[in-house]
Amino acid sequence: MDQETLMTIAGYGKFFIILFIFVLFYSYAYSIYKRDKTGERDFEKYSNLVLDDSLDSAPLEKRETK
Amino acid sequence: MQSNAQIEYDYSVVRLFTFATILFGIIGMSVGVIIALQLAFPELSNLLGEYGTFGRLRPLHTNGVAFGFTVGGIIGTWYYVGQRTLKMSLSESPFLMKVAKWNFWLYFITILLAVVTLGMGYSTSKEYAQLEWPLDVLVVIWWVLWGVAMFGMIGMRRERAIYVSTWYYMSSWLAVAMLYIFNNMEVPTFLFSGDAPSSIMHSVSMYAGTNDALVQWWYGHNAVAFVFTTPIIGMIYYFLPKESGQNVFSYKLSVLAFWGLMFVYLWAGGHHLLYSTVPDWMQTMGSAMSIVLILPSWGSAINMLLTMKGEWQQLQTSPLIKFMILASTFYMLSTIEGPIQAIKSVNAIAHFTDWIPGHVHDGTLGWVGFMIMASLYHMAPRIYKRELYSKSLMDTQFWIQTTGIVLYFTSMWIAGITQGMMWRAYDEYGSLLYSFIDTVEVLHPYYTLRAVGGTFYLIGFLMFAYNMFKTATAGRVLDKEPANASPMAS
Repeated sequence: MDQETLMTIAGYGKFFIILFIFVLFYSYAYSIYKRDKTGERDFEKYSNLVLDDSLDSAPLEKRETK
Repeated sequence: MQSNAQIEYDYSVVRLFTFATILFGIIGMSVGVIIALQLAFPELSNLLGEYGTFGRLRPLHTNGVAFGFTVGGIIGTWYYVGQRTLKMSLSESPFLMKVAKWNFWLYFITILLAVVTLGMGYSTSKEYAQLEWPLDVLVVIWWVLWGVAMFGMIGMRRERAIYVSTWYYMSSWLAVAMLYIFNNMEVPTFLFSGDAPSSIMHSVSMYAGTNDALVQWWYGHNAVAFVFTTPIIGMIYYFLPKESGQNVFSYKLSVLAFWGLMFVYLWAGGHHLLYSTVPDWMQTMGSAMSIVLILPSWGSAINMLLTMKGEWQQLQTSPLIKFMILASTFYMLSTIEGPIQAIKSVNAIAHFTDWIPGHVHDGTLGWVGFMIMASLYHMAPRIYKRELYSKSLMDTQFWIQTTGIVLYFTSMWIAGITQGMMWRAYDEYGSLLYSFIDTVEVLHPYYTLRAVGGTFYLIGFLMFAYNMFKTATAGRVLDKEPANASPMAS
């Protein structure tokens, strides 16, 4: 294969790799947004894990213990 | 699970790691300043015979700051952040406490041995993986111990949800374990040397040629990813909201950026091998992935800056917030600079020039160093139960170190681009215009400036060490733990 063909393939490869990852990223972003909007999961409440982190405060989501 | 009314978080291991982080920071950064001075004034290489040469000292600098200072800061802050966000105390499990202490002592002994053996010239000659095989075995043992402690703590947690910082620490543990073992696959030569003389310390890599380069830079770049990036993001996601009393701007964005970073980072190492003998598609992929990396990197950095929304006045009043915000800003700078350097046409100029250490240092000094120091400052009033010793000293340190970083990276930008352009310049007959020594002469003032910048940073670090020492020994005793902003004497 000559150099020019190789460069062309590499160029297309680069474009499609970036396109694929963009699609993947935005699909994941959309799924998070949708779950948040429909109330399936409230992501923002997890910030409290930092602000309320003393050992004697109640856990945000208590773990089931046997 | 027992009632947690009388239990307290146990910071004994955190205190040990804090001490070691500062100690190895001083050693690693001092050696860094010495080698920067040697590059500007080569006669300084002759002061200590073979022990003072650039070739001996440079691995000491990189290993000291990466594995001594940074890893110490990472594991130390993990034992702090881990306990608090999982709502469990190490004191609840004598087993995990023992594992954590072994984790510290083996880490400490390994880094001390690294200083000695690298100084004596024992080196595998693989960049950032110079430690010889006995030390590699030690590293694996204490890394596994850290993993046992980490997953043991997660197993014992009261809080079901695992905070995003812990995800970052976990990714760091997992990725470094994999990278370190694969890149350091080596055969001790004494096993096969028969009667021929062979040092017990010597080994040969299992890889050779292009394969070796590929594995080495898959490792090398991901050491940047999983030592200098992900655990530091884990730190900022805990310490900035905690110190400022603000919610993370968008938890959703933190999760998105996490998975983005995880997916993309491992493919980017090929950008270290552009225009080399590795397959062209691999170079292209490394370059493309590096550009995509801007997205998750800036996702985290912008998330941190926006966390301060409505509370920007804290930047004026708290030097600790200043450290963290500037760290985040330097993270943005170096994560746009890296992808630019990974573009093939830019790399043609940048590769092998001083722009590369310039890039590395605006990341490590500005992002990693600032964030580790800020985390240690934040933890100090909690782990020593004392007020921070001096706010004005902290402020002075901030400005001295910021000036140092700016001097460092601006001088290296100019030096690097000058160097790259001079190496490529040719006349109408196609002959090179400059010889190597021409570039050395032109670059001398910038090398001197770099050494000055490094000295500023080191002075600031010594101020930090003093402030921490005085906090631990002479700070005003606190009667209760501060909720958010760390108390500091003016």
